[in-house]
Amino acid sequence: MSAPGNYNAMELYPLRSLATVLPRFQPPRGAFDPAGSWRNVYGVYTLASRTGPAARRVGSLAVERSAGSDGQAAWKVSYGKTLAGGTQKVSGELHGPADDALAAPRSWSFRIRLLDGAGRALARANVDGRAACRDGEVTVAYGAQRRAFHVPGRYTVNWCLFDAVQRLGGKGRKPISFTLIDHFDQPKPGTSLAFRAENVVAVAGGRALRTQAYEQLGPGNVPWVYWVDGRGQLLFVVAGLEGYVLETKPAGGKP
Amino acid sequence: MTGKSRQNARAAGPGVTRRRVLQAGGLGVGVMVAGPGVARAAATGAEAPAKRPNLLLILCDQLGLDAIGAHGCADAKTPNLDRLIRGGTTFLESHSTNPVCSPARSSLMTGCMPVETGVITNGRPIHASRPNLGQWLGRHGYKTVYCGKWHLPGGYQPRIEGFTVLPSGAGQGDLNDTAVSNACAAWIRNRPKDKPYLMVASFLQPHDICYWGNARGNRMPPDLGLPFERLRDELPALPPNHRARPAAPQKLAARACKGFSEDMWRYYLWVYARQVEMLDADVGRVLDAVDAAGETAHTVIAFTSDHGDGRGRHQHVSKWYPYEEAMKVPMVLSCPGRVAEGHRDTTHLVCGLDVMPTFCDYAGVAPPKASHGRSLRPLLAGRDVAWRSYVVSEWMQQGRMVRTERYKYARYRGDPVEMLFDMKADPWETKNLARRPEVKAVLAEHRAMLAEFEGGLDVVPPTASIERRRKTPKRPAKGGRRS
Repeated sequence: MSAPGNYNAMELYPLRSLATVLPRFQPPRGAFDPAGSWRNVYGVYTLASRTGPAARRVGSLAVERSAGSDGQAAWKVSYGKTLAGGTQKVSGELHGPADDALAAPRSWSFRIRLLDGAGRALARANVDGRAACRDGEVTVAYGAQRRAFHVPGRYTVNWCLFDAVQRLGGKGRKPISFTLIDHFDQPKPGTSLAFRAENVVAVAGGRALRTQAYEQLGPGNVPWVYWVDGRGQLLFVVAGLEGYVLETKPAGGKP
Repeated sequence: MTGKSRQNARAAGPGVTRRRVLQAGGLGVGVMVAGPGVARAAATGAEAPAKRPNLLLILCDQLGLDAIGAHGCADAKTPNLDRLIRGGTTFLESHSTNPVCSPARSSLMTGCMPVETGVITNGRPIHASRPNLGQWLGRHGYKTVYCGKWHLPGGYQPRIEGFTVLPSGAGQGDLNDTAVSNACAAWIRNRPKDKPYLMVASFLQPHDICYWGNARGNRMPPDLGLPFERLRDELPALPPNHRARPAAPQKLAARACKGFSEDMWRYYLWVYARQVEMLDADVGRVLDAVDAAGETAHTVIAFTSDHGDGRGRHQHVSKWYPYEEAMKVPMVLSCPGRVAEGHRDTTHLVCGLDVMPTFCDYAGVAPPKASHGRSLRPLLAGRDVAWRSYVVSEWMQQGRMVRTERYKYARYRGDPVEMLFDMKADPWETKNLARRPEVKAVLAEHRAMLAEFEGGLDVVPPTASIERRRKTPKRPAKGGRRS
């Protein structure tokens, strides 16, 4: 296991991309039950710099899980990004069994709104989609437009992995192969999720935070790495030039 | 060449000499002798206004021609680009006018070489005298929409002359391209149908690879090795010319990427392939929307890239130089009933200058006067027309390249080392023949072609750069040693 501040260590790759953010990161406190109901909010960062570590916040992502008494779970995803001259807002509602290791939804809907600089929605750029998976066949409808694709075996929607990695259980978990349904409607078969390493990450105040990292590899994506703390809460995600950092209350401060 | 014959050659496109124009006329190919304008459009059977097709330019960034499955790439799965290629015509001798983002884009948007648009480096606007596609076709009855990377001068701009802009531009390709494809697909589904449209869907991938190739960045620190052991059996092989370092001008010789282990190089190639696949998924979303709108047969789709990427060839990453990995880009057109399906054009030399005149031709509109690309429409219809004998590319203000059917000639400004490759015998560009006595005549011929081309350029002053303001270069020379 590498020294806490050594973001260059191979096992911490590619956490170095968040090296300017991590020293300010306040670890979350209190109980966290990944199998229960919770809401995690992340800052979305672009990690593109040719001159050294840099991370620029460009939006936020909220993932909320509600566990029902009927063995079902519902997820709400709310994603906003600042654009040149506007904003993109994405929201999704997903439903599926609560105990699925990949948090695979059986049905979901999503809305995408493009707002101009004055905050007005550009109606012609609206996306309203509904999808369901039955017998290995996913059907996505955007109004009158429909498309279907086959998902052999396991699958999940990318945002649901922000839940799933919190319940994988660490080192003993065998790799899971599945079809990733990216951004609600792009099938990417042959994706796999596996335990990567136990890491100690240096955060605010020089504290050493024990984490478990998982790696997602497959076609149509650069590697995604997820870091989960000892309580099971997902703290950091790095995927190429894209990063997510859990937003927590500053110590002794307001949210 | 006389002034009149030069005019003819310009009208026909770079590399088409007076002799070839006359030959074409002799063969009864009217298009070759018609000047730019409505007459030429009519000669190629332009659409009546009521039947004018939609025009969709799908543009990407840093995609080499052979990085697509249908073009022979085994490392990336590109089902959507493959179906576009299968359903249309792909040009396998397609070249960037300048393997640098902004200059190449200025050519795609105007039909002019970068020294003629004022965009000689990144981060410059197109010169006011050169109308872009949106301005030109908007004036001629098209609804014009742009979404995605622009880089003329800003990477993403809320306003672009001639276009309605759908906002985009959060981060790099991985964060942004999905927003672009969703916005474009939604607009195609929901658009008003009162007039035909020109849409530019401009994706950034696989340009994200630029942030892997730079050792100062975060993704490839020195001695990284292979960061994901599970990938070991999936890594692409190194290209056959990975170690090739033919004699080259100093600036090119200095461009080799140092410090990558073999694992790092192969990881770099693996990442690039994934970024190509990300692009493919977003292209697919737009193609699906066209299909779902029932407009496939009424939409001319062009797919191209501003330039390629080094991909370990000659130990290169990135672009900005004249080797094939940076220069060759896809040029695919599709429209059932208008464009030959499943055709692979391996002979005609095409380039980024040709997008403007091709779209104008389908729109039944004369291209702007300054535009001197060639309409690809006759080729897309399977017609045998006389074609240019060479294309020219430039890169920044550093050099120019002439590509003929068999040879590539390149030189850098102020550097005595010239480059000549026999592209038939040595397609991986491993042997620089320029100093060999047996190619003396070939070299002279290519120098003359470049001089001819440069003599026909209508150079404008460089426009103001938003990058490196203090290093604005002087006005480039029309030709000669400056290249």
